[in-house]
Amino acid sequence: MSVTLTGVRRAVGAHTILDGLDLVAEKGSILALLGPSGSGKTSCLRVIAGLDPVDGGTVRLGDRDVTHVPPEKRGVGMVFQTWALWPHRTVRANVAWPLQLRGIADANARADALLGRVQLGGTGDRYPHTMSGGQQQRVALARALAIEPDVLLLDEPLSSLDAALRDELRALLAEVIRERGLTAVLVSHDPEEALSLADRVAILQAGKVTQVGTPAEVYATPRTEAAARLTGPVAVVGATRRGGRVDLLGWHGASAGPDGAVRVAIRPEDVGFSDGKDAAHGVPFTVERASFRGARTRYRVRAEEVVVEVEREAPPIGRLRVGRAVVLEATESR
Amino acid sequence: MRFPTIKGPTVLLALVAAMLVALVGLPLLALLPRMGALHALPGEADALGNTVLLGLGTTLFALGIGGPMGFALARARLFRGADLLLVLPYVTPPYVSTIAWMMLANPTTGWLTPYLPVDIYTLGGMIWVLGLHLAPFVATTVRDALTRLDPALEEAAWLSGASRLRTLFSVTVPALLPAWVAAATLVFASTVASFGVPWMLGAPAREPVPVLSTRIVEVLELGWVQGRPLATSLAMVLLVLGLGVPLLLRRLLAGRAWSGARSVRPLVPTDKPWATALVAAWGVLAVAVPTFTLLVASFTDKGAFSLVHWARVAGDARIVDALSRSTVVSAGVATLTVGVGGFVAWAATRGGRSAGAVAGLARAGLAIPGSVLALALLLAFSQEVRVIVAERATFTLALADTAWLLGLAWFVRFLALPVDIVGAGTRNVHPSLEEAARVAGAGPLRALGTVTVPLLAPALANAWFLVFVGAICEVTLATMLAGPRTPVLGTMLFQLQTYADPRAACVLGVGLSALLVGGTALSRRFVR
Repeated sequence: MSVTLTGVRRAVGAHTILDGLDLVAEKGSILALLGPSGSGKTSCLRVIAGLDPVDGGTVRLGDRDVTHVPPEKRGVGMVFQTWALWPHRTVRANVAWPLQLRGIADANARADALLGRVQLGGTGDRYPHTMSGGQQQRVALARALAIEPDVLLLDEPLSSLDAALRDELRALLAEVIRERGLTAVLVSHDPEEALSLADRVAILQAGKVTQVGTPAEVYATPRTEAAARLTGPVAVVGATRRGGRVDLLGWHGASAGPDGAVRVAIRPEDVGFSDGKDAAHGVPFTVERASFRGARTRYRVRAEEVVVEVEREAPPIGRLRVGRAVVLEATESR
Repeated sequence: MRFPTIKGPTVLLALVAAMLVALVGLPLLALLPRMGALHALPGEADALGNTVLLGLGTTLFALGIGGPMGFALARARLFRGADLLLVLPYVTPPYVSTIAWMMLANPTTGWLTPYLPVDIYTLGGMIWVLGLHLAPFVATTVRDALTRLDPALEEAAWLSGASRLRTLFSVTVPALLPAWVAAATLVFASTVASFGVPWMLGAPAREPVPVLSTRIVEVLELGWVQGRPLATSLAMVLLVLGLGVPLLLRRLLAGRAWSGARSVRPLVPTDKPWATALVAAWGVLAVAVPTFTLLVASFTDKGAFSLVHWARVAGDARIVDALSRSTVVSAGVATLTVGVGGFVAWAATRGGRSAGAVAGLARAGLAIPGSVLALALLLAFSQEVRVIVAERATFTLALADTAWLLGLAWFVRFLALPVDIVGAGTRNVHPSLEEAARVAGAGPLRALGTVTVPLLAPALANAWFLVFVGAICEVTLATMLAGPRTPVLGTMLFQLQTYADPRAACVLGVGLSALLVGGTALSRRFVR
C-alpha cells in the first residue's frame, strides 16, 4: 500500500509546520525522511498516522483518502521515538491488546509468536520497565506489527540506543520490513541509519520536500547545502561559476548553470592528498587537525579560508602531522 | 556527593537527631506500655468503623472530583486564575469551610435547609467538607503525573485501534496508577487523622458520629487518670490505621510502580468545554459558596450590613489574647523549624545516609496522626522533669499546660515542611557553587552563609510562611495541648463555634482566610 501526501499544510498558531508538502512512499519500499530539526519530519509522520490534523491537502493510503480518518481507523503501525510501551501492561499484553481490540481470539498466542520473531521469546510475562532499551524497542516493533499493518511508521526508532545495539536492530528492522512487504516511512537524523535502510530518501526543509531520490543519488548530488550536510560529513565552500565551469583553488569542474557564486560540497572521500612533493597538480593545504579513526584517519586541512575534511586510509607507519603542508587532489571528476 | 569533612555540621546533626528522638521517638515508644483498658476497646468499634468509613468515603469523593479536575488542568486551556481557584480550598484549613457549611446546612437553622433536606452533622457532611478540602491535592498530583506522561502512550493506543474513551480507561487512567496510589494514601491518612472537622460536626450531632481522633479527646476529658489507658489504646489503633495502612499499601504497590515515561513532545492544551464547566462548578461550590457565606455571616446582623461582630471580636480580650499568643508562638516555631529544618535539608542533600535518616525522622512528625503525637507528648511531659546538674543547679521542666509544650509540639509537627521545601531548593543549588566559594577562600560556614543561604532565600521564606500559617491554623495539637490558661486561636475558634458565638467564629474564619489567600498569592509571586 503506497502512502501519498498531496499539498499537505499544517500550522500551529502563526507557525507553519508543513507548507504544501508532496510526498509518495511507494508500495513495499522504505522511505526515509531527513531534515534539520524543526523541518517537519516528525509532523509529516504524525499526519500520516492521523495523530496531527492537517489544514489543507490530502493524505492517501493506497487508493483510500484518509485525510479525515481518525488514527484508530487507519490501520497503520508506528514505532515511537520513546517506544511508548504501556507501563501497566506486561510485554505480552502490550503486543496482544491491539489484536484483542480487533476481536481476535488467539491474541496471546499471536503476540508470543511476534515476540519470538523479534527474538524476545519467553519474555511475555515481564513488565516493560524491567527490560533493557534494546528489548523495549523490539517490543515496540512487535506491537506495531501486531495489527498486520501495510504501512509502518518509524519515528527515530533507534535514536535512544547505543551504537552496537543500533546496528543489530537496524538489521532486524530491515529484515522484518522486507519479509512482510511493508511500506515503511522512517524519520531519522542519523544519515547512516537513513541511507542504509531506505530505498528512497526525501529531504525536508521548512515544511517542504526539497529533494527525493535513492540514497546514492541524494548523497552524491545533493541539491541543497542542507541535503549535503544531512546525508553525511561534508565540507561546503564558496566558489564562482563562469561559463559552465567552477574554479576552486585551482580545480576546475564542469557545472551547468548561470554565472555567479555557487557552493561546492566536498565529501571526505572526494579528495585525496599527497605529501606536498609534487605540487604541480594541486593546491597546498595545511593539516589543522588529524583524528585517528581506526582503519581510516580524518584530516582537517585549510588553505586560506577553505577548510576541508579529508579521509584517507591510515598510513601503515605514522600519520601526517598537524602543521604539515599537503596537496589536495580531486579523486573524482567533480 | 560527599559530606564536607568538617566537624561542625556533624555535631549539629547529631544534636538535631537526639532532639528528634527525644521528642518523637521516645514519647511514641512510651505509648506502648501505657496501653490499657483493652476490655473497653470493643465498645469503641463504632468509632473505628466511622473512621474507616470516613477515610474511604473521603478518599473516593476526593478522587472522584480531583481526578477529573487533574485531567482538566493538564489537558485543557482554562481561564486565568483557575489554578489558584483550585488550591484555595486546600490552603484554607477545613474547619473554616466547616463553619460556613454549618451556617448553611444546619438541620434546623441552616440557610439551605428550607430548600434542601441537608444535614451537615453527619458522616456524609464530614466526607463532603473533607473531600472538598483534599480534592485539590488529588488534582495537582494527577495533573503533574499527566504532564509527565508520554502522550505517545495514548497515541499508540489509537493507532492500535482503540477509541478515545477506551484509551482513556484502558491506557491513561491505569498508566497513572502510581499517582492514584500516592494521592489516595495521603488523602486516606490525613482524613483518618483529621480531628477538627469530626469534632465540629460529629460531636454536637443529634446522633453523634464518633471517630478515633475525637474519642481520644473525649476519653481524656473524662479524666486524665481514668481516661489515659483507653486513650492510649485508641491512639495505637489510630496510628496503625493512619500510618500503617497507607505505608503498607504503598509498599504492596511499590513493585508495580514505574518511573514515568518521559514525554518528548509537549502537549498543547486545547479548549475543552467540560473542563471549563467542571472547574467553574468547583469554583462555585468549593470556593464561592463558603466564602460568601462567611462574609455574609460576619458582616451582617439581623439582615443588614453591620460591623458589630467584628467590633465584638476586636473588643474581646480573650480573643485578642489568644490571637497574639498564636502569632508569637507560630512565628517563633516558624523561625526555629526553618533554621533547624533548613540545616537538616541541606545536610541531607549534601551529605550521606545519616543526614537522610534525620530528615526521615523529621518527616515522621507530620506523618503521625496529630492526636497520637499530642497524646505522646502529653504523657511524656505531664510530669515535671527535674534535671539536677550539680547540687545547687536544678532545672525544672514543667511544660504541661503551657504554651511551651504546644510550641514544642508544633515544632515537631511542622519540621517536615522546611526539610522538604528547602531540600527541593538545595538540590537546585549545585554543590560546586559552595565548592567554588571554598576554593576562593571561604570557610565552610562562610560558604554556606554567603552562597547557599542567599540562593535558598525564596525556599526559606516560603517554608517560614507555610509553617507560620500551618501553626496558626492548627487545631488538633492546640486542642489537646494548649492549657486552659493559655488559649490559642484554634482552641478559641472551636469554643466560639461550638458553644458561644458562631458569628464571631465566622469573623475569625474570614480573617484567617484573608491571611492565607493573601499570603499564598504573595508567596507564589515571591517564589516565581
